Amino acid sequence: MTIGIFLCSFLILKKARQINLGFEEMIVVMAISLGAALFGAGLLYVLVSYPSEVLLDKIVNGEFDFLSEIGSVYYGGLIGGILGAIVALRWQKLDVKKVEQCVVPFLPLGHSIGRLGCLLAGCCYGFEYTGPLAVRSAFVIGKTLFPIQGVEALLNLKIMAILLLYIRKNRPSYHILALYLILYSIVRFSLEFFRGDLIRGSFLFLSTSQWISVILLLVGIVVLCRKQEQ
Amino acid sequence: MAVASLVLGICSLVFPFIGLGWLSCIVGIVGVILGALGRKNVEKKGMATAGLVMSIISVALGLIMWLACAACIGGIANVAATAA
Repeated sequence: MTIGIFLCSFLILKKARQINLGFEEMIVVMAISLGAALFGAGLLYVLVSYPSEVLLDKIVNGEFDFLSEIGSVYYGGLIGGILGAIVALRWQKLDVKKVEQCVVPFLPLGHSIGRLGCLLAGCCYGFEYTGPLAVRSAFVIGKTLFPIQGVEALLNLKIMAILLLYIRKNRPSYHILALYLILYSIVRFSLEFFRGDLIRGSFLFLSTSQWISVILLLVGIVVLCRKQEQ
Repeated sequence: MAVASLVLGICSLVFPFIGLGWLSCIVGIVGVILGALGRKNVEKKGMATAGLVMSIISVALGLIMWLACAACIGGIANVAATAA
């Protein structure tokens, strides 16, 4: 994940230099987005990992030991990062269209590298599977699993390729981000059926990530349609 | 801002080595923001750049220390499972 974040940052700054965006302003925007993304990722992890009653009891009793075992959820990071970036862009008065053009296509690359980290660590694993390319996980001893992290990494690279083709033409503000949200939410919604770590929480017949996928898909479609009307 | 960035950069470089990776990330990110803003002042650009670089390194180290535990535990257990 760390390699993904820093490789992405390097590529974003390189692209920003090409389209004449200020180095200092971009650093500020990226730092605020990263902070907000880490906060969002941790917050969503805590919300989906602990039942609300247990969490409330811990907070009321002042037991904050759970913070040392905090993990991260990508969707929390994505939403936190987008909100942080919007605030930072307004503060630094940067052109949304230009920043979007140099940031969004590299998000799936960072995510792809992050998923390879998941594959090596054994987290975010798939269902029980014995076919070709099956992997072992530290979290499910003695069983082989579907390499869902690898599949997601490959699909993220495909999304990056689509976005790099898409930014060749001049697009309205938030258009590239909306396309990314649509593509990734479809991918994530589908891949959730192949996941084996059900500890991430579910509501009715869908997992938390699938509900977020549905919301982000609708947001992406609305943004894309509104911009097309304009 | 340049001085603040330098101080935060130095402080946050220490945290990963005492097991406070998450604190290093928070302090490092603040240091990065102050360093970038401090670079706009021509007189203190050098100091701000030093603070910026140290803060970026501390964020990287903090993230590695924060996330490496899970990877190490996973790797060791995976090796154990394979050996069994």
